[in-house]
Amino acid sequence: MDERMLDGEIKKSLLKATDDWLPLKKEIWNNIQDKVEYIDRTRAAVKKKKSRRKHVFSSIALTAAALIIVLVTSTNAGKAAVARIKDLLLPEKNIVQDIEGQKEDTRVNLKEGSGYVIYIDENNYQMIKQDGKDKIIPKNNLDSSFPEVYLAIQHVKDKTLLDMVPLIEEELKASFEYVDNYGTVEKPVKSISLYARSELEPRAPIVTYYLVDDNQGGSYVIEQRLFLEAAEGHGARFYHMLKEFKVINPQE
Amino acid sequence: MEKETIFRIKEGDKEAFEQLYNEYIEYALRTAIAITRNKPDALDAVQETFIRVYRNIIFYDEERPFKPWFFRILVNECHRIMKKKSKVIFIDKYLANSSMYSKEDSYSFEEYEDLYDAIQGLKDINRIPIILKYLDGFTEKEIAEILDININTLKSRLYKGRERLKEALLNIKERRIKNG
Repeated sequence: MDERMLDGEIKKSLLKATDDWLPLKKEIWNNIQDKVEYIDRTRAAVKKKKSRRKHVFSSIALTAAALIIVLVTSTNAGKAAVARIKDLLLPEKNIVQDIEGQKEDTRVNLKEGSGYVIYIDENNYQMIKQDGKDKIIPKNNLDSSFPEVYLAIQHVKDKTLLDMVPLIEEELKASFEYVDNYGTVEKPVKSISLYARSELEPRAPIVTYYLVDDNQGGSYVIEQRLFLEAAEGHGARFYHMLKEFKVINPQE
Repeated sequence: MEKETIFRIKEGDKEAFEQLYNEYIEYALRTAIAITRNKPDALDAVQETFIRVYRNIIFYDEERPFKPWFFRILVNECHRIMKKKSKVIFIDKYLANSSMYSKEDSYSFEEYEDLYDAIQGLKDINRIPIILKYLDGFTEKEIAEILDININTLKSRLYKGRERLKEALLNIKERRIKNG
């Protein structure tokens, strides 16, 4: 059979079989508009909140900016920036966490990683380095019958969020029955978030990714791994730690 | 033109988003109908794709071509929905139930419908590259990027898929001649 003829036949059959697309056009647009308006409203609310915060903290920001300008001229700007910003922040502080419905006053300690800082609850967790990642793990290890619990932070300098999202999504789809891409989220940290789980059993592993822009063409890949039963305990504690995650950008 | 539209969407311009929608909806829907094999699932996949594009467009790198990025999201959405509903039907099971075989003696079926059945009877690894190549006109390099596979793997999958279709089309023609 003539090759070009075959190509033409395949194309024609695909076009004819999918010719009834038009009636769906209006329906989809109507559905999308509602969602788009919701996304816009959420973004506008966050912007407003940020601008209020910006006003209150303008003097702090000026001090920090002045420091950063000095730091950019140094040879190891990134590390120096983290160190200096770290100096501006309290080495430890108290936060109030909502753990399983109870308010809990918790002391958290400042920790630094590659281009970022985070406050962690050192009474219950420790930060270790493993496979090129910073891993926050519980101090009281659960026995091996429980799935792993950790918060891992990895700086991927050569891949943008756009590069990382499909890679992680595919990886999750290969291991979990249910995978969802939440898109851009503002809490606990501004990021693109992906979620994956399989069955809804108490000890079924649940993975949540937060992909944070490093503002330099790379990404921070934050992987939160726990199990359903631990969502309100470790899950809540990780959530509060992530609220304190800050990228320090020497180029700003 | 497209770059400017994307820039405007990033700035929050709704008209630009509608313009992009009008430009992409036809082939997004055709592709999703072909991949998911039904209109309700295609509707869900396309709808979710546009929402994801709107949500994540701030992270889109304008130096890269937009169309493969868009279709990568679309194909992933189709996969997600198909997996959720467990609608992946492999060739043997599909052929046993397809109209191509069960209605062998019917003259009312057009040739293109038989060929479409044959396309739908291919395994997904051959079927989806064929859809992207012939329906959307993507180059092999673009399809490899969309599906995140090596270009040589893609070439081999396209070749095998095409060979199966060539065989199917010859059978259809022979059958028609035989049946007058």
